[in-house]
Amino acid sequence: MDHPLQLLANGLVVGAIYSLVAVGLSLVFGVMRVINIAHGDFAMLGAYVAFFAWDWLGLSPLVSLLPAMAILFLFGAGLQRLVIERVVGRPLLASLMLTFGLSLIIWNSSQVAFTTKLRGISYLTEPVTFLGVTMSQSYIVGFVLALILTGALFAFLKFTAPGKAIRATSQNQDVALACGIDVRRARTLAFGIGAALAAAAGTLISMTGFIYPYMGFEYLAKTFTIVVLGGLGSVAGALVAAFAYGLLESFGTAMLSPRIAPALPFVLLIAIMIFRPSGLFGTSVADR
Amino acid sequence: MCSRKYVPSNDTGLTRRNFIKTTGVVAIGTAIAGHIPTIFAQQKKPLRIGASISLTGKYARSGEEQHKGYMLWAKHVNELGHSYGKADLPNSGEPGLLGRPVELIVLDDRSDPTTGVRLYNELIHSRQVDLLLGPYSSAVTNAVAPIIENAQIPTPNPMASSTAIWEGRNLQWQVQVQPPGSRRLPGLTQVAMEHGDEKIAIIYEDSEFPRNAAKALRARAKEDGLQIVLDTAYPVKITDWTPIVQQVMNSGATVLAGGGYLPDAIGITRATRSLGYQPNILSLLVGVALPDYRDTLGKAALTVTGDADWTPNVNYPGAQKYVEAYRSEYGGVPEYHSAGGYGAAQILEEAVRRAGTVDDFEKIRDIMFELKTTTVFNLYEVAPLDSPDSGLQLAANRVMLQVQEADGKLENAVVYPDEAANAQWIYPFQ
Repeated sequence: MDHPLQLLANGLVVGAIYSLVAVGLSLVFGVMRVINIAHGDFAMLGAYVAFFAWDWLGLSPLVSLLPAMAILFLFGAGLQRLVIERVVGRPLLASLMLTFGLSLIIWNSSQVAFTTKLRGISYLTEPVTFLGVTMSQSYIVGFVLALILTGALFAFLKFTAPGKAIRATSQNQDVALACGIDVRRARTLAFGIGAALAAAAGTLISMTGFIYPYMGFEYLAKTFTIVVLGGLGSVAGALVAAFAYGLLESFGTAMLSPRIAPALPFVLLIAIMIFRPSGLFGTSVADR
Repeated sequence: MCSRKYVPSNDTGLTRRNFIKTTGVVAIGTAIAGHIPTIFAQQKKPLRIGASISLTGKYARSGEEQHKGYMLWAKHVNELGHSYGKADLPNSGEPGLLGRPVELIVLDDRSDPTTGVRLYNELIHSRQVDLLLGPYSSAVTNAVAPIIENAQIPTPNPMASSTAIWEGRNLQWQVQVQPPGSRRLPGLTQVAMEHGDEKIAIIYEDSEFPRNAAKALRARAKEDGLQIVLDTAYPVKITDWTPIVQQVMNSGATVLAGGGYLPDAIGITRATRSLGYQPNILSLLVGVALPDYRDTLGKAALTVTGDADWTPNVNYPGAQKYVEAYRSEYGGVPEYHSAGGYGAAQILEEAVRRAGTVDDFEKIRDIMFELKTTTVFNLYEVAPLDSPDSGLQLAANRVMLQVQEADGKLENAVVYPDEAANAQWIYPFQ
């Protein structure tokens, strides 16, 4: 195997971006038991906020990251209050259909508004070499930012009152309600945070790749696999599974073939489903 | 139950004979009046031309441009009675095609061949369109080819460069308008050999057109004595090209060629720059010719090469008028997908006008296969009907482009072949 450190770095960088999308999706499922098909579209919208901030105002994506997250937080929270809240506690199929419909509306509207033109931000494109690993600065910055944001989410969930309320709602909504926690508010907050993290991922993708109105769907399939691998509703599981996904892609391409590499996470998924159906960090229904 | 009997009344002067005469005249009058709109409608009945195009999904950007080409063609035919460069054809002049206004029925196949099959079935059997135009991409064209053959409707295909769709299949109803995939990336291997490059890596999306283009590249590389150190396909649903480019880098290749569509071109270039990989030639299939490529990548696109079926400064009949019309209709400069759409529709237009009918499909088909003509897009001549590769494009050409900087602006310079070039090929890739 040539350049294992480079392969490791490539896998970790991609995994970090996947993790930003995946932890939000997992958080939302954990708190609401809602499978949000529109989650990838939040990443797309965040990417466009960053792109237009760059294109029209000349703002660096590192600066526009926070406004993009704030805008998508408000958008996500509003959407949750107005629409998603109505299917909480309903059969899974209801939320699935609703979010699928929302996804179609979002990306079709985006195609009308933004056109199908592929776009991207050329920012920090110069590569740097460290310990034999070469990578463009945008990838490194993306990696660091993804780690910071995921770390911030963990700290928020662990140490703040609203974060604890989200965790309590995730663990047992009835008990949380009995303890005086405003579970509705916790759900809205969780959905908003999920959307904001997806927006951050979208911003990073606009720097390291390219953006287009239906990009959310491309990332969604991977993200679902990651969330199931990590354990539905487990934020820590999603994080670990995201890095595992990135590393499998990177090493799989080098050691096996680019055709086989994308199948590896699914092989792992099948194995996990057989030996640990609740996922890496998930808890079974009986444990809840 | 009471029965009603007609009783003539002298007060009204209505006798049985008068009644029969009156009702007879009314009936005949009504019948004629009733037919007048029908006769009128038959004269002006829209000519419904159907197609599925990738308006969403991976190929949406290119599909949208092809769609613009179709729409602009329909507009010109409906307004002028002919498209640009085709004013002298028989049966031109009256607005529409043979006097019938053209109505395009375009459905979105979402860049998915299976959906394309369903939509062409719908267009042919449910919507019963009068004529067809081809979809976008080799993948969708290949998938819908049996449907069109069964329906026996003459169909020009604008953007399907894969030769595998036509080679050895003796297709009877479909022609290729785009230059074939065997002529992709012209000059690549020659320039590489001239500069002493020995190792080439070919990576390509695992779908119909890139597979076919890679096959031709592989053959040319071998013919020209280049060593293929990596030859691999990658899946269609890919979002990160870094691991594949890393593999190319590890292979020691000094020439990297391949890709697929616009997203692949951007992704491969991003990964190449990110990894600091410095091949002597980076040459990509679809993408480099499109403005989105330069707009997205900025200076990272510099010195990347890629081919084009068409450039906005060509001098084919009507081409410059077409460029102006595109500019005023949609803004900006057209690229080859839209010109290809327009050009393919012109082939159908010319075949129909020469046939003088829209109903005799065999006559239209025979003319479409025999035509030797020029559209705003390219030259046109296909392998004849009785040959194994019938419908395969024989005359259309490509040029090689390179992203270069002029007066601080990025633009595509034509660098190959020499007779078409307006700039020198910058070697090596910088």
